[in-house]
Amino acid sequence: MAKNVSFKCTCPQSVGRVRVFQNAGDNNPLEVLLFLQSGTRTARLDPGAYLAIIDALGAPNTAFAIELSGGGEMKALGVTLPFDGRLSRNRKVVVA
Amino acid sequence: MSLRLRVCSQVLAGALAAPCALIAAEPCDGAASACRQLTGRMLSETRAPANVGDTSASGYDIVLEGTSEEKTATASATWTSHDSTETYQLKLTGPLNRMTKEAVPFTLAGLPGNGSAEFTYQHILLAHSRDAEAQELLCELADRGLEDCGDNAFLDEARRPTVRDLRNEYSQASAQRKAVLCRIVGKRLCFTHDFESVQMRDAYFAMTNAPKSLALWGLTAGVSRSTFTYLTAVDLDAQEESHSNWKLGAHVGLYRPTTGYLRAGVAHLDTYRPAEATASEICQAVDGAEATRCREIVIGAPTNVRSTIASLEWRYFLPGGKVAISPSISRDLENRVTALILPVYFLGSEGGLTGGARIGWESEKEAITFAIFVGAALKVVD
Repeated sequence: MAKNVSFKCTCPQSVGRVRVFQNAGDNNPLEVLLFLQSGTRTARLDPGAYLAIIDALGAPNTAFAIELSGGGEMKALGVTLPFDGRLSRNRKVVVA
Repeated sequence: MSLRLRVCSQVLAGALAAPCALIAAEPCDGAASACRQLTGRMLSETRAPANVGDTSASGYDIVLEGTSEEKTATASATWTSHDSTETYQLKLTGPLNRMTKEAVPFTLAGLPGNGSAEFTYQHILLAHSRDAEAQELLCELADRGLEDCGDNAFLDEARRPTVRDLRNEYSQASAQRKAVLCRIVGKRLCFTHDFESVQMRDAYFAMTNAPKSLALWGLTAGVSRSTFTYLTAVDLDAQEESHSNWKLGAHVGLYRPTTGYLRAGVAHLDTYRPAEATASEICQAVDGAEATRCREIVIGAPTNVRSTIASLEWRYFLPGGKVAISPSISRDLENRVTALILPVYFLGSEGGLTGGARIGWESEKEAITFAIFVGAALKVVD
């Protein structure tokens, strides 16, 4: 049964996107969550393991963080955006 | 479906009025977000208590939001598409009854006096697909597993794959693998020397389809109903009139981290305004008595004003994210009035309320104004 998996973005000076892929080799995401400001958005996911690609665009040298606030497990991402304000990282999301 | 109710207080800027007359006609955007024309005065207002987005699920979703100001109440419903790129918003505003603290934004008879309805559509141009095979190969070259991989694999000098790695990889690769490597450098056919100048991090961004910039466009349509109470100029007879105002607008925006957010918009408005900017104090004799009764009221019927407003705004967060500027210029093409506004925002680390100062100039009055404001945190794009 699908679960609500909540992603919390702390990104007051950036735009964040989380793309959730069913398989590591998939080109098209199962879910896309776009954060135009800080907040929490929820994806409906069946139990299993997923690949999450997290992108950010924002002011250089500002903090950007995304964590899973409920419904599954993921290593939190908390970084300072580099000189060009761009970022793309991968995370494994496990929904029990 | 989620439901949220937000109640906000309104504060007056303790400084001079801002030249928001032109901007106020636009949807609350950027520098204009703190400006709203209300009964002829310019107010700065405190809105959302923090720069925090809605809690919502993917797919079509409804968010209801109510705001309470000094004189109006607003309810808005927002639908966001499955991939978060399309937003539809309907906002209804009605006058707030001071006694009952209730507002009726819409009745069977339509909009109430001083009520308004506004529809906004916004589309963010963003592709979500990626080249999984190429991304995986880049991660292998960076000696990382996919889950631990990212653009930083190519940013970190110590761990960055060298050109030699790529050339060796290419030399030994199968035909299929070569095709992927060529795709990484953007060529159908490629050779070892093509990897001499490759920017691996940019290639990684391209393979994951991580955006370099964010572009958006939107449309706005609104209608409102205004009720005016005034005295006729000839014999000072009390009159009341209601008129409908409407507006149509469109905007485009482009955000790049290094250059900031550039937003251009145009809006056409057909509105009614009081005959005078400020009310006059009128004293009239009380029937059957020698005493007089004085009140502040506008003299003259409201006038119809049509305007086409073009606006351009640049929003830029200075590196470090503590200060942002958002200069904008607006031009009423029909009435030939230009307004310039330069707000400077001082930002908190977690978003939240933003304080700032604003300098403005309006060609009609040829006056420079200054205001200090407190408002919702400035968004990167909107």
